Amino acid sequence: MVDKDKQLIMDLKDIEKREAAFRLLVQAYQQRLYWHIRKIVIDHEDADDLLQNVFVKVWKNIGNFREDSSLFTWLFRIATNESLSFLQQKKRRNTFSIDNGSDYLVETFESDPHFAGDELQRKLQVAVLQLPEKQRIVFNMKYFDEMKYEEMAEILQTSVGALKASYHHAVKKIEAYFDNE
Amino acid sequence: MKAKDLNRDFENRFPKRETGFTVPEGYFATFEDRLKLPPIEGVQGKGALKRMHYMRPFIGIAASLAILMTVYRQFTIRENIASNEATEVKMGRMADDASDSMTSTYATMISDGQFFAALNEMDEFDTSKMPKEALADYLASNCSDSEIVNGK
Repeated sequence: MVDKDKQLIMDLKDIEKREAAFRLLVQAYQQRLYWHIRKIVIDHEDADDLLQNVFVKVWKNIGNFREDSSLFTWLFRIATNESLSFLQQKKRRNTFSIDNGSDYLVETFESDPHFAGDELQRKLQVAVLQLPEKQRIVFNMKYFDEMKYEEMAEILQTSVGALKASYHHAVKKIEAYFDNE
Repeated sequence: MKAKDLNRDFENRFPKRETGFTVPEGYFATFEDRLKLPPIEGVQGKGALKRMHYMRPFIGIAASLAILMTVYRQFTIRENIASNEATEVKMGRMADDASDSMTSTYATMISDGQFFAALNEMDEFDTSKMPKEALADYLASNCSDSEIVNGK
């Protein structure tokens, strides 16, 4: 994957090969990035818009990509930032206040026509949506995406220790949520 | 309970690592087609260069006219100093006519922005606004000693 990505980056920086290489990039990463975004913003339409924005940003900035991090890390960082900015914008527009951000997300989730999980999955999602934003992202990346802490640390630009602590707190809160149900 | 044990217990309790979210049918298959990308920066750059290429003759003409008008101003100042009123009026009129026609030609050929920029450039050629050293150079090369002394 790393070698493939290196070749892909070289092709993306070559104007003649850029379009073809970009198609390969979209095919390779669209699903992983979509699910990452979807778990943050919940609504499918929002996730779709954000995924498009992410690829447009990548398209515009690939020439400036310095390769300090891997392509995978860079893409996930853009996707995470876009998703968090989107939620912040919603908060600023008073669609939902800072305090009841999770209520908004739970409502969005409850009315989502694109959910086909069982009762346990539904309850787990509701519990996850009660978590503070950062803990929620860390939990999603670790539990659902089974990402390594080192990868997460690069994407979220946080220490491995802090991520482990976040995941542990998230798990405890979800356990408590289920115990109280 | 240790953190590792808690996490293991949790993972045993929720072994199914799937969210349950779905997407509309054919979503990923059609995503690429729906993705609207802006033009590549490099290509945009080429376009700008192309535009510059076409504009170059007009910019050249505009610059030449600006130089001509500046020279004309210098010329009329010198004529003034020589105090040949009749010639000056005649020449002035001729030059004014030429200048007016040049200005109108010039104005039709270039944009308003470029036209006003060129006018500003000409206004800057005002001896009263010149720095002392530049003024001294200007007088030394354009006026006789007596003219300078008499302040004409």
